[in-house]
Amino acid sequence: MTLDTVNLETCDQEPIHLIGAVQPHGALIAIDGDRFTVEFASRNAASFIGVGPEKILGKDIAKLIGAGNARQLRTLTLGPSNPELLSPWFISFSGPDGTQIDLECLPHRSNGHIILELMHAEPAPARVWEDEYLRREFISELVKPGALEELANASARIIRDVTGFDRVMIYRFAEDKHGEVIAESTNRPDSFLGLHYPASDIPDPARRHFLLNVVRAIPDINSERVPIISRKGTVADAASASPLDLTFCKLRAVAPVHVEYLNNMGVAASLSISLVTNNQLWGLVACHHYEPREISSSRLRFAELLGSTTSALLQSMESTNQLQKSITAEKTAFRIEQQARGGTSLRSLINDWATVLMQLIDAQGMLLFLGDDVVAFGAVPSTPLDFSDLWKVQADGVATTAQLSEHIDMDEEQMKVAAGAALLDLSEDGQDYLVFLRSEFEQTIRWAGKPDKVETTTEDGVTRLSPRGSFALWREERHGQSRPFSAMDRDALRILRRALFALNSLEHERAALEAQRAAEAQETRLRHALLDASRASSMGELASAIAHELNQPLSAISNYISACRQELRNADVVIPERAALLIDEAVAETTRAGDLMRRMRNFISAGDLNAEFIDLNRTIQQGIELALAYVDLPRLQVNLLLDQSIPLVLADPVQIGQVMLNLTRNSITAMQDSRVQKLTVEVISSGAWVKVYVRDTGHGIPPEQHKYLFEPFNTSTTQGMGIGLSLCRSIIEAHEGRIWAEPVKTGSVFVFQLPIEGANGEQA
Amino acid sequence: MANRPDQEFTVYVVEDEDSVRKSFCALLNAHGYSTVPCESAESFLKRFDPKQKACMLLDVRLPGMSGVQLQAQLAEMRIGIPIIVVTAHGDIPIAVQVMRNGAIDFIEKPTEAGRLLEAIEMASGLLANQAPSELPKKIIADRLAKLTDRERVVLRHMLEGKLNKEIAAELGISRRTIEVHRWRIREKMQVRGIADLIRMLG
Repeated sequence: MTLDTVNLETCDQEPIHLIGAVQPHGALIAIDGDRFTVEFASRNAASFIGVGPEKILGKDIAKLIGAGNARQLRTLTLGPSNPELLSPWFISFSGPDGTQIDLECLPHRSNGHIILELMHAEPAPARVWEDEYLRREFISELVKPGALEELANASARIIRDVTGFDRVMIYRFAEDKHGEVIAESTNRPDSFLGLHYPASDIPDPARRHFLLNVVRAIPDINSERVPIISRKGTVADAASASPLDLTFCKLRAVAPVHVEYLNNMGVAASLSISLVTNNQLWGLVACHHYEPREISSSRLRFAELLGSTTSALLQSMESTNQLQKSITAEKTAFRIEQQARGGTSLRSLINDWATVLMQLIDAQGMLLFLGDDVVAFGAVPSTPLDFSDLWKVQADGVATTAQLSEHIDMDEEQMKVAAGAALLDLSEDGQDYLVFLRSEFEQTIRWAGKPDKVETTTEDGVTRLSPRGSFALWREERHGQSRPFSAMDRDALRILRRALFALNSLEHERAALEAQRAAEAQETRLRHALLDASRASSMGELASAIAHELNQPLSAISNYISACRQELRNADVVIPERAALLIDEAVAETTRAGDLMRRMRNFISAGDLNAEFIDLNRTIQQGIELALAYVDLPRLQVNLLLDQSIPLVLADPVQIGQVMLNLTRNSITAMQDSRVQKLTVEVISSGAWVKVYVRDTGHGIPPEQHKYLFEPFNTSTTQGMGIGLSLCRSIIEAHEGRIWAEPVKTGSVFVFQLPIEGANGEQA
Repeated sequence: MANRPDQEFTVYVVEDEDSVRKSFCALLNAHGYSTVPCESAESFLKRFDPKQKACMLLDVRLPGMSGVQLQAQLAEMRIGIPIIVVTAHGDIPIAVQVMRNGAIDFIEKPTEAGRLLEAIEMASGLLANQAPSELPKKIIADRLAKLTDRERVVLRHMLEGKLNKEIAAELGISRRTIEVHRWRIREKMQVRGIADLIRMLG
């Protein structure tokens, strides 16, 4: 490995914690964690403790720093790592020449070793100044800002005050890991504010170190690194048999690629403080000086404190923002759910809330896909897009992208309107989803130099990579991209999705249930229709057969009675008046029975009505009398409210009599067990109609029966075959009238109406 | 007041059902007619005596040769016996057909004794060369004149043996209106039914 090139393939795996060297502003001594013998020492040890590595390796540490200090070291609580605030241990001891040596020591435990990083102590007054500063300004300055950028600016200014660096910048890392300078404090004329730095500027191993070590100071980029020597006398780097792990060393030497990078920027000294939120590298405070600059560990400690405070504030600020957005999303979801309870469909809910939803997600357009239906809101492409490829990359029902064209083929127009998209999956089967669209974000990124590393091919054919040679401003126009979807956006999307998915599922369930009900109702109707049809044909045949079979004996009876009467006359028998009357009645009854038979058959086989102009009052009365002739209800009251002024009605008297007979018989049956047994029949002339009301005080009609009341074979309403009411309806409808049951609290009310000829506009 | 018609006059009762046949015979015998019971058309053809003054009570629905077929065969054989058609299935098309083929009346079961005797009397009168109770042409024409154009159209359809629903469909008006027309026609022509109309108008 050379200083100026690094292999592309190993770039990210470069073991910088095994670099085996320190920066020259301090010395490193590593002792065995138990025996306290010196195992490693940096070659510059003599400048700090007066004796070089060759003299101290393998020796007891007590011999170097004194028994008292060594005892104290054993009492220090040392973690395996020390990413926390630097906690310096100030030690004084007599050097080999007897002079007093004052050092700051940063001890930490690592892999069975205690690593002691030694630096010259700083005079006390600085610390007092820092405390004062801290008390006076620091907290109030940092706590004041309400926005991220303000906080970052305050933080940058204070850190520059404390450290005295030429330039302090605060980077924020985007999701693609590239950095943007969001705050800057500098005494130089040029500004890096707003510049973007490519992600490759900080390789992943470096990022890991930024997470583990909050502060990283490089007082002089170009100072010579100091090798660390093991007891075997070799350099303890990655190539050696026993390298020393410098992961948590503040003094760790600088990786060659980083040296080159900083040199290319013209930087001579660097200090960086990690901004960590939720264990993520949120950003970085980068301090640059254009000459070497060493700051005391006290100031370093203060800078670290500032960094941590800033991080904490950033995190709370971000959490608050996120919380606020989440709360808004939750509130919106809640209100949508509330509205849904009123029975509003998902489609109209989205329609009602479109503006609010798009605002919440910072979207300019929205597409709702429900099965094969698409509903568009706001700005959407005129040519439809197929989102199935975006749907495929969803996790937990949400997929977001700031560059939709990376997922699906798009034309220019589509790319402008639907540069970014967030997809919410709304159904198990992937048939329903909601897509938020973000328009193109015409952004010009001001890169600090062309964001590509320079690749070169060396003579041996290995591709090598070196950091950018130029940091000249590089503008890049970005097309077909939207503002990225942040973690906050995704949280809000997840909240909305959860609510909408639930509502949609509910709606699907309800629709399925309804469809099932409709299918069942349809089936019932079909069954009734079939029954009806089978009834019609079989009843037709049945009626025909019955009519024939009954007509014959009726005919015979009638004939015999007539013959009998005639024979009596022929024999000159004087028939008593009463007997003659009975004979006449017997004949009349057989005739009536024959009539009824014929008309029923005609009627059932859709024959013709035997209509004539009749006095409905009389027909009704006859029907009721016939029904009453067979009942024995002593308490039954019958109210006949006839209207003698109604016009004659064109109707078949036998059939209308049959209707009255059926209705009356039903009422009487229903009142069998009633306390009050009152039958009221009322005839009313009403416009073009004569209406007949049949009211009773019986058990009434259960509501679920209402629908099928007039269907055939609906046996629960009558005690017979259940064709009584259906027959009534058929008869009344054949008369072009109407029959229905009126809903009442007690008992039941049946009404039928027949047209008054000439009154309803039909000219006879 | 016993009605004693001509004892020479015989009524052939062509009816397959025993009780009905016997009851008809009993009724007619009580009224002074001699009867020849026949249980089928074939049996009638066997027993028929052309020399006798007679009429026939014919059930249209018979096993073997039907009443309508028998009527046709008699016409072919030029046997001019008056026929009174009796049926338990009073359907209009059959009524019109048998009337057109020369039946003098069409009666539905159960029959009213008076109506039946009326028809038999008419048949015997025909044979006695008495003037049939035919209405003078003038009266018929007067009655016809009372009909509206529409009623005349309906009447024509009725005489063709059409059902109300067929007439309604053909004329594009409701069945109910047809019923009204029929009722008016019955009133104006002073008839009881289709049989009277056919007898009156041919």
